Amino acid sequence: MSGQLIEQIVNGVILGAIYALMGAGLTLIYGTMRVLNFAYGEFYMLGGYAFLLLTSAAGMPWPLALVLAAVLVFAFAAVTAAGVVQPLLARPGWDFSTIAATLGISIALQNAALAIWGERFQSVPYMVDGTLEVAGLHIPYQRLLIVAAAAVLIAGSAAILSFTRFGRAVRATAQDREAARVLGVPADRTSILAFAFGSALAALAGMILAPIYAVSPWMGVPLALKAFAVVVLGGLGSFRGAVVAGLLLGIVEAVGVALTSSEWREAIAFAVLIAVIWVRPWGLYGVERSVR
Amino acid sequence: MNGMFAPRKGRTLAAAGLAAVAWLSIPLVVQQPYVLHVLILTAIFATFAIGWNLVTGFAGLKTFGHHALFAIAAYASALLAKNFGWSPWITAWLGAGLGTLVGFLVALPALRIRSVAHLAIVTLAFAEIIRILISNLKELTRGELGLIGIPAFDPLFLPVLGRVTFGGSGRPAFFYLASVLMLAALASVWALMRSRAGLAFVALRNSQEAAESLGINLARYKFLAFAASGFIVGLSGAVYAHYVRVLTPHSVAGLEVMIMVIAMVLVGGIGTHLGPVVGALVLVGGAEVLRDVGNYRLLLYGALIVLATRFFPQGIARMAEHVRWPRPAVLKPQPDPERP
Amino acid sequence: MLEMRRVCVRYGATQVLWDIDLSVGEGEVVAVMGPNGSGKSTIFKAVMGLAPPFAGAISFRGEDITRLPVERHVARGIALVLERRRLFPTMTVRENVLMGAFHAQAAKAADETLRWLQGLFPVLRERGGQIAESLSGGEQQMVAIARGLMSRPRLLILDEPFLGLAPKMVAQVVDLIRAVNAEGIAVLFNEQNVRTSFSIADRGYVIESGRNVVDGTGLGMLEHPDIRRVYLGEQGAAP
Repeated sequence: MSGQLIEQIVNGVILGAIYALMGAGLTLIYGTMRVLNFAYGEFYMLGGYAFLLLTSAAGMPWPLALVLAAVLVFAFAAVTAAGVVQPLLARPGWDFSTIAATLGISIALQNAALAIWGERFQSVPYMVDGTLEVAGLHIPYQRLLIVAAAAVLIAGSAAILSFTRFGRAVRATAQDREAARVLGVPADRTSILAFAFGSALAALAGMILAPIYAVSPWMGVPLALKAFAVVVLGGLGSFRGAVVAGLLLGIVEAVGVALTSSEWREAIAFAVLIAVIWVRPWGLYGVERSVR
Repeated sequence: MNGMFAPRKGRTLAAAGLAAVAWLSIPLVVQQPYVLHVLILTAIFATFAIGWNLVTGFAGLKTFGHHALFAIAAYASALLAKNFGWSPWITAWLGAGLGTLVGFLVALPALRIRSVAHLAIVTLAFAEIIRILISNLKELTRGELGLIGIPAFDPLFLPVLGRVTFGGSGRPAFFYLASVLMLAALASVWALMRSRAGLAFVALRNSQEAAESLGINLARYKFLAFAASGFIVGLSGAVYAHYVRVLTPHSVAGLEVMIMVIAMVLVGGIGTHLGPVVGALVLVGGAEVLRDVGNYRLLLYGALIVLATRFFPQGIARMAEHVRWPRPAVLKPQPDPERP
Repeated sequence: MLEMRRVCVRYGATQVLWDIDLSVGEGEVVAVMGPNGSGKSTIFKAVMGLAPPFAGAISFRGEDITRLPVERHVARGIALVLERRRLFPTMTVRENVLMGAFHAQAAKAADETLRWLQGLFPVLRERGGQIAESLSGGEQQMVAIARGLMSRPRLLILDEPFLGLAPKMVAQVVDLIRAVNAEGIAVLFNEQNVRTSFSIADRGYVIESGRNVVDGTGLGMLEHPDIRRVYLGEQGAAP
């Protein structure tokens, strides 16, 4: 029983790493643009398909496919942001219209994928084979790769935010858009790039998870819902909050599933979310004024 | 304030009456069951859209979880009628009552949170929980297998018409039932928006801070908006259940249902009375007319939402309004010649 | 250097500036005065592109900048310090100040500029690692001005630099403006109080209800009947 529990916690950490990565990308977009990107799961899905097509159809080695697919989704997301989302921000009621528009993009992309690639669940081969056996636990290397990749991507993003010119522009725009513009920060372009950057993180999450979960038009939906829960739990717009909340949610979910059954997995996450919003709507690292 | 609009109001009322009569005489001209089927679905989803538009469009409380209310009422009415043998004429009201109660529940977070993003996520998460509940409580709902054998509305014995049936081939009767539902919802929301509550909703939508400073009891009107909207949406859900007589978690509690309604309201014109109806006609009717598009229906809905928000945010209803009835000059924003 | 001719601005349907004329010469200190809500801040926002005029023209050093996007003003040599400091709340003082050198040219000279500013603003050295939010109002104003100067502007615009400051801090900011001006940087600022304004300004403009009322040099302006009317009862309130 306790061995099972430990295994669940290990699974929780793996899941949590993905949630953290997904949350980080989403919160980055919200932070700079104040837009809740409901099409976020579809960028995850597009990442999965781009990776699948590049590796299996084009026969590309997976590390190269990973990079190229991320670039492709980045470009697509940038076009989406510049063409649809950014123009809405200048109009009254933007907080609603951007949510509605991204919901529309989400459902359109899902069904476009369905029309193009069919409803078949397609599998992607493991990037690394073998299983780590330690202390009675069996952990496939692929799962360890997921955790490692998520950690590297999160740390890399944090470094970009902290130390690069783009990162400073993103943080300044997020904290005070007008003040940033006055100092010469091209806030619109920065937001579009942040949108694309966050979406590329989702795409990368979709790629490293593809060998475990199959690739399908709807693969992004559960993950996106989790990412929403994560960013609210962490405090919308807080990068650190998303990472911490992602890990926490992964573990809470895994333990919760161990105590009940897997069909309640999603319900547990959303119940936690609603409970947190009730007690502390601004989340772990958010600021109270952000929800008023 | 009514005086200023008097001439326009008279014409609007006349036009609305004419449209209602035209709508209600459709079965006199068209009898194909398929066309009536499409019109019935249009009326039911238009009612859903009217309910959602009340809380989101008129009161400005952006919620994305109303498909949960639709589903709860649909399942509740279906289960009560099926398991206890109660008449759907009664269970539909009970379903709507449950929708109202759940509407109250959904209003709770809206009392504390003003951020649209937060509210969107909470309401969506709530709806997801409902969908998972329906799907997992298999003993009660049969889960993804779908709830079947839902009773139809019992036949009515009406003066002049005699026995009127609502199941099987009773499509014209159901058309009138769904139409009455839609027109009643339309009229109720219209009346509500002309009452004190309507003024409060408009104030709420424009600025919650300002509404508060005017002494408007925010909590009370938020509850009212959600409850009234929950009742309308619940009633539409219950009627839907006894029309299609098969329910699955996805067909009523799936996010696609909400997205379809959002698309209707945005295309028709959010915050307008006729918008939801026009939108439902365009989306339900339009998708059925373009039969080839059937498979790409959701792709079309998604694209329509994007196009509507991006290029015609005012919606069809308001565009039509501008064409036919130019607003009186006094309503046009004009620079104050005196000073800012 | 800066020329505004018959500039009109509106927010939505409401016009807030009417035919504003204003100029600032090289190395000059110019004050814009007027009651609350008279449109003083909007004049600065118009210059910076935050509130683009729908009529009239703005030029800077002979170039038309009427429709120039906000972000491009810094490169031309204009810096605006917004009302209420507007520091990036969770960045440190140092990070905030370095944001002022975001523009590529300024970034190259950032180290040198920072050393110069550390001489002028002791707070940068004393509190460089502190989070901006934790500073007092006066200290934040100093950091905000320093941030504006990081781009090495020819014209520094200060929106309500004395707002909410204790009299002692007002005096410090006044000294600072003098020191900045001594380096050849022109300064344009606004302030309700005429006496405070003329303790540093070479020239002044009085704005009322979004229109020019009167302009001129020095306290002699105060004898103008319009000024006496606008400021009746406010004259004694100098800090």
